[in-house]
Amino acid sequence: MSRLEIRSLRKSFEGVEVIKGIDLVVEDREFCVFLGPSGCGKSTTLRLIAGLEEADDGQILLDKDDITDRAVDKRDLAMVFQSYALYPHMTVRENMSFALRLAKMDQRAIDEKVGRATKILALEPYLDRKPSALSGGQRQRVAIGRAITREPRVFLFDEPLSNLDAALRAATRLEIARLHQELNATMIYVTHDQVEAMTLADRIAIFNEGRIAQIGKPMELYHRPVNKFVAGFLGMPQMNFFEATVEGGSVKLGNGNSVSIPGASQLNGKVTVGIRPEHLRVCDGDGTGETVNGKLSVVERLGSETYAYVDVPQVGSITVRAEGDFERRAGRDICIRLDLTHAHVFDASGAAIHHP
Amino acid sequence: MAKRKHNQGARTIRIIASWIVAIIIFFPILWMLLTSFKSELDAFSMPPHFFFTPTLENYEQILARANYLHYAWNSIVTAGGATILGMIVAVPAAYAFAYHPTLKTKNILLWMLSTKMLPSVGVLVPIYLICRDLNMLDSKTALIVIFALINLPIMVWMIYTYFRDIPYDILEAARMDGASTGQTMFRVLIPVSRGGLASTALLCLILSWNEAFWSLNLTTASAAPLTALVASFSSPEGLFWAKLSAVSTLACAPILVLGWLSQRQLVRGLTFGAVK
Amino acid sequence: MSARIRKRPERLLAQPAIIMLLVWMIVPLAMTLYFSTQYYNLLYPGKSAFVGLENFAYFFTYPSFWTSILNTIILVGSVLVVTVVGGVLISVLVDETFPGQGVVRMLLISPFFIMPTVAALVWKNLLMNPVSGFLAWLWKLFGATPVNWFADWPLFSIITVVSWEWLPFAILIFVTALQSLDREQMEAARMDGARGFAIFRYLTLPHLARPIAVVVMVEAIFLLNIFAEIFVTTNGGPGDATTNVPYLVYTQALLEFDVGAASAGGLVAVVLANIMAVFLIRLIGKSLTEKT
Repeated sequence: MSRLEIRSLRKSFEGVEVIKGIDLVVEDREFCVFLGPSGCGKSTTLRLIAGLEEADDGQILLDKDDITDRAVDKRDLAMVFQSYALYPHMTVRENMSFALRLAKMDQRAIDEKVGRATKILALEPYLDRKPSALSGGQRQRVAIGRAITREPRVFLFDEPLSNLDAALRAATRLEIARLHQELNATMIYVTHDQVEAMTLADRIAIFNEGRIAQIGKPMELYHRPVNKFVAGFLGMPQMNFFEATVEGGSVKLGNGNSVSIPGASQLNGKVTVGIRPEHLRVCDGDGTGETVNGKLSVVERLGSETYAYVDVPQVGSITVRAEGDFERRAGRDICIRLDLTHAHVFDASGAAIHHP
Repeated sequence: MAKRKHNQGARTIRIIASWIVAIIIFFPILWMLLTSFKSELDAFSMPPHFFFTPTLENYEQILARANYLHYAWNSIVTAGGATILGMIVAVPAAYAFAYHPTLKTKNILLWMLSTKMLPSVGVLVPIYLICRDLNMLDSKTALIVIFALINLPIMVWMIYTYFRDIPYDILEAARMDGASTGQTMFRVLIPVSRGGLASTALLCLILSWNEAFWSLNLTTASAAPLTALVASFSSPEGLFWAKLSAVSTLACAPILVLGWLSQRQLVRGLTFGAVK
Repeated sequence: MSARIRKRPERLLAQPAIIMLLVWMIVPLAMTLYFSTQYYNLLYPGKSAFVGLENFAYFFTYPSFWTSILNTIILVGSVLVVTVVGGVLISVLVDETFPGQGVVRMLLISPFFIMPTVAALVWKNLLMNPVSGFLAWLWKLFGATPVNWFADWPLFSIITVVSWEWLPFAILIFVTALQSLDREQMEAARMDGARGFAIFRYLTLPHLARPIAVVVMVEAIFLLNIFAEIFVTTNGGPGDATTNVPYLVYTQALLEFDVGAASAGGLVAVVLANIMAVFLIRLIGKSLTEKT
């Protein structure tokens, strides 16, 4: 069993509180992603779990063992560092077997474990090379291999894909997913890339300014974000937000238009309406439903779909998803259908008060 | 076309000037080397003999008399001993400064630098008296300790800058792999930084070998290193120029070669890490 | 939950080095301080007595003392000027790739690795000897009378020897520093019409400013301690023409066995060095611990 529990974790650096009370449970064999912008505390939390930093307050429990005060080398955790941190003076084989040799394991056991990791990661041709003779992607696999040979209770990944180029990143992402299935181990993965989070995670913990904003399955977070921050962080391109006032059941936009949001009749006061680009449509000319007019400022054609960025006066910039063969050009006037069936509503403090 | 020729011309002049300057600066050493192969008569002749029959008699005489080997041995033991002692103390210190700095670390490092500025002469009296009272006048041990102390600041600084160049996460990875502090140092840090450590040791070796204040004042016969042997040739009557040259060549050649081989690496230590 | 007590055993690793240097500095200095107030002659150890500042008075009225201070300043200053100016010019001269560049560099830095005693004696005898020295021959070649360097120009001769020893150090440092000079910047300057001298003045020199400061600081540390060269050539003479502060203290301590006076002199040397150290460390020291 490898269940990790964190209670009320706090950490300050030079008088500034960076981790402001984290509570979290990572279940056995779960792939949990720590997601968030730079400086939100996700890497620090990972390092606190690893023992590379000491917590000021709180507890870290691994299967009911309190490891909060335990030394780094006694926690039975393995970490894959962002910069790989391979030992430059050792070969790949020696890198992967270092921990086992320190533990004075007998040679046969070492060879067996190293062999297994080598096979999983296809590292056979590189076993006798030194890190300087490897490419970035190969080094990364060795870093992962080094963690695998140790058969730790929990794997920790610190932004492992950020130093790879785009193509390699996508391929390695798949490999990590496969790895999780094959090893069936508990993994904690830190990243700022929401695509990695959405595709790899069993559950995502979104960090913001030293606290966890929300934890849950990716789709839960996507469809029912608990506040504006989470809603804006997941989803590419970002969710559209515009200010509105609710009076007597109808939602009034900045430009005076009134729209209706199904099921949101009991709201009141100043709100922010959020709706994702894929839930908006360009008007199809039949004049039905609520619409709003604006000017097309930028068109991004991706081939499979197109994103139209529309400036609507007194409302803001609205992003709409259109088909791949969308033909209109920037600078033209355009009309958007404002079907707010799938809209979220956030109150003045950013908390979600209505989900579709 | 004309511009290119002009540049070629300027470049050629620069190259020739470089060679001339280099030869002028090297000349005394060259002359010393040549003189060591002359007979004393040739060595002292005026005008100087540029062409002569080389002889090995000077070297034979120096090596035959147990003298030279004795002094050379003293140089080796004192310089080597000081280097080993210095490294044993400096490496842990540099490790602490580089990877576990406190607010005081900067000040401590600068203070170490300032101890190097302490003029040896300022402590000549007490050190002399202490050595006399501990019966360590004319002892290699005293020299070893003193050489280590005077070079410690440079060594700590030099190793400190090398350690700072090593990414810390390699050491963190070792810790996560289960290494204790000692194992991290010996199985990861030291092997990775062995180039820098070698340069530091080399610099200490060179500075100790050439040290010419304590080695002259604290020794007489039994512990005197080569600096003292050469100094004994300073008496005006003995015009043993050829022998002086031979002794000097033997005394300086090893260090000269070591210096040539490691010149680039020494820069960092000699400038306390300011120039790399 | 209560806050944790941090254990940092690693910080103790620095203790041996710190303690050793502390002892090395404090104990002898304290002793020197003590002795400087004593009458203590090694030949008559029983006759020690407290004499207050008499030793200092003796020193300050001792004519050779002021000469030695002057000589020290002249010695250090001249060598600094020669090595820095010469070092900059020569390093710029050889900062060019050409066949044999490595050999040229080796030749240029060689004197730095030569023992001070060797350097001094080679210069005094093989080169500067007025009868059979190489320079004597050279002078005669041009029809001039050879100069008796060490007899007639003793301090100048010492300066020459020490400069010869330390010029390579400056060259080595500056050559290394020039390697990191931005070539693209120089090409841009050339395209802007800058000629050799302008490039030197506005690009090279500023780039060398910090290495020059460091060279000055490091050399000053060693130059204030010059001893061996004087010891084997002039023994401070003729008279006290080449006596610097270290040599003066040495004569008091180990030739006249006057420990009291030697200690007073030693303290003066320490004060001199400290003045310079405070100045230099403030100037350069802080930048040494910055991350470059």
